[in-house]
Amino acid sequence: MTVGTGGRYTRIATTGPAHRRAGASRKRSKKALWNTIGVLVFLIMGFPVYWMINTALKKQNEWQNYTPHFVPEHPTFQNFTGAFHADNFAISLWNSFVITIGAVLVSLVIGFFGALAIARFHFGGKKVVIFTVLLVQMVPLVVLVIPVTQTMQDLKLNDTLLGITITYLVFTVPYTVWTLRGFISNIPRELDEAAMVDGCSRWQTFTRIILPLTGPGLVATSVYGFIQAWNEFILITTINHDHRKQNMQAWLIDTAVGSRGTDWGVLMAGATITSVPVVILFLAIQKNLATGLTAGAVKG
Amino acid sequence: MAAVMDPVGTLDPPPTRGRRGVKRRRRFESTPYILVIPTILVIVLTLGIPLYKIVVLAFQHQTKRELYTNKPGDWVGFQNFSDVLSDKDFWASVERTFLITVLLVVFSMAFALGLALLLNQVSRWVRTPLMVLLLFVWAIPQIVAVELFAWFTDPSFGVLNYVLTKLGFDGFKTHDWFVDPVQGWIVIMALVIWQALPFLTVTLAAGMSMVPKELGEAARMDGANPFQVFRTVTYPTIKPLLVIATSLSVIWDFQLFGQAYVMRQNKPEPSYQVLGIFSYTEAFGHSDYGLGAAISILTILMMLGMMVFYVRQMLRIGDGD
Repeated sequence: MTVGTGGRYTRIATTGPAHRRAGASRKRSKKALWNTIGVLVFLIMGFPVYWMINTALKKQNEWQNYTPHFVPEHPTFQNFTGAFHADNFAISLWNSFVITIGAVLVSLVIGFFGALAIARFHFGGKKVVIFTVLLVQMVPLVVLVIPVTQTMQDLKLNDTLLGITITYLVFTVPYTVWTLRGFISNIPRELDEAAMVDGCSRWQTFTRIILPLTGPGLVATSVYGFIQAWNEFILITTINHDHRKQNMQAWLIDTAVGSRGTDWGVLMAGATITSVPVVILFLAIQKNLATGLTAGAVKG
Repeated sequence: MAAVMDPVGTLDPPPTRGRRGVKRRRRFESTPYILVIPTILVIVLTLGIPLYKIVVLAFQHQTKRELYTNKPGDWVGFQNFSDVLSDKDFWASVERTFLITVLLVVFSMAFALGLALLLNQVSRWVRTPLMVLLLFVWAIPQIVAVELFAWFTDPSFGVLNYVLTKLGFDGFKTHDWFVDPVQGWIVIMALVIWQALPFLTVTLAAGMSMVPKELGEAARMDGANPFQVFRTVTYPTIKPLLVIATSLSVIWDFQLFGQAYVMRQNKPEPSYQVLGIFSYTEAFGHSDYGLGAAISILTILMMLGMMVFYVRQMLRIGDGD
């Protein structure tokens, strides 16, 4: 499912050369109007992103200016080096990666099997399973803060990366199950049956037929799971009080409400660095982007 | 015309109903249970137990001391609920939450639909950069976006005030956008919509690209105006996606927390308290965890009540496999 098929005109609407010319010029001027609007939208929507990078490249005396410069006069990377030397920055970035990748990998394994069960079998209690998977979406994470904090303290897992990774499974696993379910139900059952006729066992069918065919789905799903875990901040800031056990989002909040006034240059450099991994992942999977989030919901 | 009436059919995989009718041997199948056990375990551990705890908590009086010494609080029956339901601050934040949700959903869906239609009209040299930009915006973490908009609207050095002053508007030189909650909410809503647009737009644009070009052309030949083409050709195709995008928007916008909370430096004023923030400040700000739990439960119930339709639809889809 690609988004790039619009804009080509089939010329069945025109009947003769004269018609075609008149129609074409009207189409051209319409096109110009749409393109102008498109460029305007691009400028407005893109400005915040531009301004983040713009500020990150300015020295303090340049961003702290009542007349903002729309192009940095003396671009510098010192905010980026400043961020890396700031308290807890490097450890927070590292923690973000560890927690996120951990949560995504565990969810992919657990979620693939859960999705198989829902997509390929009828069993008692299936509706209950689906309902709980959906319920998670409806429960705001804030609600879980108090009881999860208690549980993690009981288990002595507060202020650990393991504890927070387990906690993040609350949103990554149900999401993975539901999305992969959509991808698996799109694989024709005939393939399973053919494989079994050819002598594959049930488990061989799962691992040799369905798993490879779910490949793109696994990639898309893990990218979305990555984003959710990467962006989480409510749970981690409440469960892990130790700043050396928090993630990039917590670092950004701390830096923004710093007691000595906000250093917007360093903050925007940190913000840029925090966005980069997700941008890279997105550019890598852009073809499958649209299918991911809605696959579970639309296709059945 | 049959294809126009039921273009959604193209979304579905080829029918397998004939095979589905063939019953497998009717013995107890353990495979699905083995497959689903890890999922169930995770959900019980990470959601079930916390939810159970929150329900218990809602019927107790718990403060910081009980929480950290892990002593059970005193049972107070429905006291927390009656306290909450008779609190006018609670009702104010309920009202605010619904209002903000409606505004956010309406505006983000309208903009997304417009942008998706635009994407199908513009030339390739405009569309490609727009798509890449949407990916970039999508990839910006929520907290980053919040800090970005906070920096924009900074009273002294913010670029927004500078531009408005340059454009000839008076009184924006050191204007604080968050003194007047209406202005503050406009900034927050702009932020939420900006962040929601990429997902919604890409989803709807993908749906629109599945509309056969010939159908639109044929409708235009028959004299349909652009609006009629949209209503009879485009809309039926993207309807399922539209329903899902709207449902997800309701779910996300009703849960609004981080944007307003962090934007107000973790100390939101009363006029910035939506339900999520209200329960959080009652619990952690006032150390009354029972009360916070009661508000949480009421929030979940409201959400489920609103989403009955969505949940039923999804159950039907999932159970149909």
